[in-house]
Amino acid sequence: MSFSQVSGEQKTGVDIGRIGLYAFLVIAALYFVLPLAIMVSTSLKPMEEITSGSIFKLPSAPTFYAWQKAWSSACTGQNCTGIRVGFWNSVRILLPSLFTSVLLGAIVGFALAQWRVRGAGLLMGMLLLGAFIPMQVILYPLVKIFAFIGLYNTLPGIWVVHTIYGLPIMALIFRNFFAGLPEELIKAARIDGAGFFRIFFQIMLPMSRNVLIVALVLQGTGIWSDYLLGLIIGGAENQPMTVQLNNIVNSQFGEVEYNVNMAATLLTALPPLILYFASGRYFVSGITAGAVKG
Amino acid sequence: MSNVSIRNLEKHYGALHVLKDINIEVEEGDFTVLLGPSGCGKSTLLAAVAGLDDVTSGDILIDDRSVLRVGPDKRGIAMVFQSYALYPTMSVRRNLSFGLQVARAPKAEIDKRVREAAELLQITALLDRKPGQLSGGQRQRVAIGRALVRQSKLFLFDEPLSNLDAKLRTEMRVEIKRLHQSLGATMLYVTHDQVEAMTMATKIAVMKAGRVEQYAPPEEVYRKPNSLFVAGFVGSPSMNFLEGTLRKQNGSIIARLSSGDVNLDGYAFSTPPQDGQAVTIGIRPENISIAGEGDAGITAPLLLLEPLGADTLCWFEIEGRRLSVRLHPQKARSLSGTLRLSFDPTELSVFSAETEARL
Amino acid sequence: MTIPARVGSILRFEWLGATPTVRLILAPVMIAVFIAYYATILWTLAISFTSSSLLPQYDFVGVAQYTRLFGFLRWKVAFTNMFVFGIAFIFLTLIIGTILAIAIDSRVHAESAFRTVMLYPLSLSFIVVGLVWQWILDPGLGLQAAVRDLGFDSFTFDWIARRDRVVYTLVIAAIWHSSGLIMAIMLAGLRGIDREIWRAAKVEGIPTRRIYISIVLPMLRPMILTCVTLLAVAVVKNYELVVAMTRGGPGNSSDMPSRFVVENLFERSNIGLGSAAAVVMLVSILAALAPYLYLELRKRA
Repeated sequence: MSFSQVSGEQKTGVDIGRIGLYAFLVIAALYFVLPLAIMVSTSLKPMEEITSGSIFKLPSAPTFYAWQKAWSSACTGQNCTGIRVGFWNSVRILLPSLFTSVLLGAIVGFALAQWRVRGAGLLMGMLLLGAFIPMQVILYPLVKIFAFIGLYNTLPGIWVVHTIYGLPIMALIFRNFFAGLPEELIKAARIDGAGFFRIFFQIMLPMSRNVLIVALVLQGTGIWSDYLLGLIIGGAENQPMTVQLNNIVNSQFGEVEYNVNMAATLLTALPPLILYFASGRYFVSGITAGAVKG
Repeated sequence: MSNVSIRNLEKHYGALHVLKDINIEVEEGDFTVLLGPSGCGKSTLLAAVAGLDDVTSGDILIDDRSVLRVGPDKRGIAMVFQSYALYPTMSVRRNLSFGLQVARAPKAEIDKRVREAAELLQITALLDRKPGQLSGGQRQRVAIGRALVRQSKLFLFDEPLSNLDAKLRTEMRVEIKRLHQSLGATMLYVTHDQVEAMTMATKIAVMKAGRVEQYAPPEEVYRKPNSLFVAGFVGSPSMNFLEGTLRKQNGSIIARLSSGDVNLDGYAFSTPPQDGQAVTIGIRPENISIAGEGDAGITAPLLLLEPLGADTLCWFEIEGRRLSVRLHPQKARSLSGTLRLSFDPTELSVFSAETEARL
Repeated sequence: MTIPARVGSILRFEWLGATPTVRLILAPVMIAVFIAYYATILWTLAISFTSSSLLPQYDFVGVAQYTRLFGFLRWKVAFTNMFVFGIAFIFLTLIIGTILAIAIDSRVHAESAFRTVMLYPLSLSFIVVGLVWQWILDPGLGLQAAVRDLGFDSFTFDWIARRDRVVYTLVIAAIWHSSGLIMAIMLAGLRGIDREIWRAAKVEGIPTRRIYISIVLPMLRPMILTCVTLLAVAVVKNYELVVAMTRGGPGNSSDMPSRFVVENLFERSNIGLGSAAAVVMLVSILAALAPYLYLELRKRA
């Protein structure tokens, strides 16, 4: 609600203020869109056009050459098998981690929301604080621990890491959601003889469609975008797309193929972008829920 | 003090026609209440007068000059809102003085007005508190205080008592009426509560679906409602309604109901009654009495008695409906069975069954 | 249990104590969380007090690593960068995000289109963000070249190649990424303000700008604090952006503590030094959280 809806004077003619407002918003929108648009357009140009022309010009004859090269034959260090390796690695990292971290977050969130446990507050506090802790201060001991239990440089190791380090946000949003459901529902189920897991799977989860979508979107984009954990814990065969991308781009020598680099970047950005556009308001409510705590 | 003139006001909200040809004249010093159910347009009308909402056509005049092109702050009005709309981060004192500060009034003047308003409303002790620390009734007073401080000539109230509990509401009703009497200001007041309207207004505009059904002093609205809607909306318990047909019989006009005849001699018809016309008779519980021997009347069985203390409501069953009769407790005590009831023809209302308008 | 007995125990609120199942779930979770987050921190803290270089040595050398750390030019640069970046980033993102929120709140057509456009950078990895802006600000490829192409031969924008300006390029990229978030949060706050307060202020004749400054924004103080806290934490944690956008360069002039730590732990085999730096990072975050936590705890009291 703001000024423009609250004044009832009859307006004569066009309002300068409104024009200014729209102009400002359009310029702001350009600031956000332009970088991506430029990348798309550059990735469709051949190298000669890039070096000779301005970055703002549209491609004269769009070609997907760069995209193909980025996907299947770009070089990361020794191998020149393209970023598709990274893509499939990221997929193999994402799907199981997403499943386990959302599930665990939901279970823990439910337990903390509706079941009086001694220490629930403590656990929630530990998790909340944990969300703020930078990876750097955990990393070295983490590597040591994982090496000890044999999860270092393995795919399952990454799954475990994402599950544990995604727990704070996941537990938070599920806890807030489940806390809003009526207690009587669970009391009735208990009287019917249902235990924790039956109530969780047969009553709570079916009611949780919205929060599940939010959780999936948040964790999905988060895990896909991860760089550091994948780099350190994953091992050479499991490097996610973000790591491969950085290797492709920042370790090129000689002539830099900008179009290929940009195509590779766009390929990396595509899955979370698709998820973002598909999920609409769920994304927004997820990030604001994470921000507006408690 | 200001007078307000609303002429042929129309407002469309997209495809929705929310105000239909509103014509209201508010004189200086009037306390006009806009009364009606939710969605009838009363708040929209108030917002239009305040300048917070625009109109599609028609005119609004304050002090005989059109204010359609004038902003809300230049119309000489002050407004009290349903949710009080106090600035939460400011103290009561600052809430009261903020508008004046922005208008760069001299500090001495601001202090004087704040002090006077606070004394009048008995909130002087609260001046340094924040709205969050006040009770509902206190916040309400501060909201009124903020309007008072503007020393305007026209006060607009948008359902100010709706958020209070019943007891507070009764107290504040008296306060606001007292305020009106001591200031003599013109007040335009919106509510859905007919008790508030009846007790506080000098004139009531009863609204339904964007139209003003009747604009008259409370007593007239009560005793001679213009339409079935107004009749049913004002008064508690509600007016009793019975269906029948007009008949001219032996030089008298009667209404023939299924359970008897009602003599309408003495009723002031505005248009000559037609024989055979379908009508609805409306009569208030206090205007029905138990018929004496030989009197004409309607027969109906007694259902139950509701002793209210000062009087007793007697409920009868008639034509599938319930009819309430207000009687003195002593008279009501001995009643039972089927009785004959007679109506006072000067106090009843006859409505056309077809148009629902008063005949 | 028979049904009456079960009902009885539930109604007597015995069920309020956790069932064994719940305890069975939460206990291992608590242990795992403790190990994953807190035991590791304590371990890092311990190492920071040792002389470890390639392998951990569990000797106690007091704060030697810390003194060594703050004697390191490269660390001092990184540490200062964190503050320069942080202050500029938080300040500008807050202002831009709030202005955007106010603009969007003004009932514009295509509101959801604008919102969608402003929020999509949040879905991108910081690696992507860093690379995008690396190219846009590249003097030979991006903005400078394009503007020169238009005829403005003397236009220079080579901040990303200048040691004294490169940190600000990080700020530009970070604002691009995060102002949408601030906009979304502040918009939610603005929308939560009682509409009648606007009307009351309008009736009082208070100009719009004044309404925002004296009434609306003070009401949003808790939200603003949340935003500042979130942004501050993001500043300390910021790693991928530097790695992708400037690689810490030119030279080490845009290095950040986060990158310093990772390099020293894994590439330069300076575990003790890296751990000390990591602890300093942690302390910085706690300092950023402190005002928020303090106010929250005072509220609960």
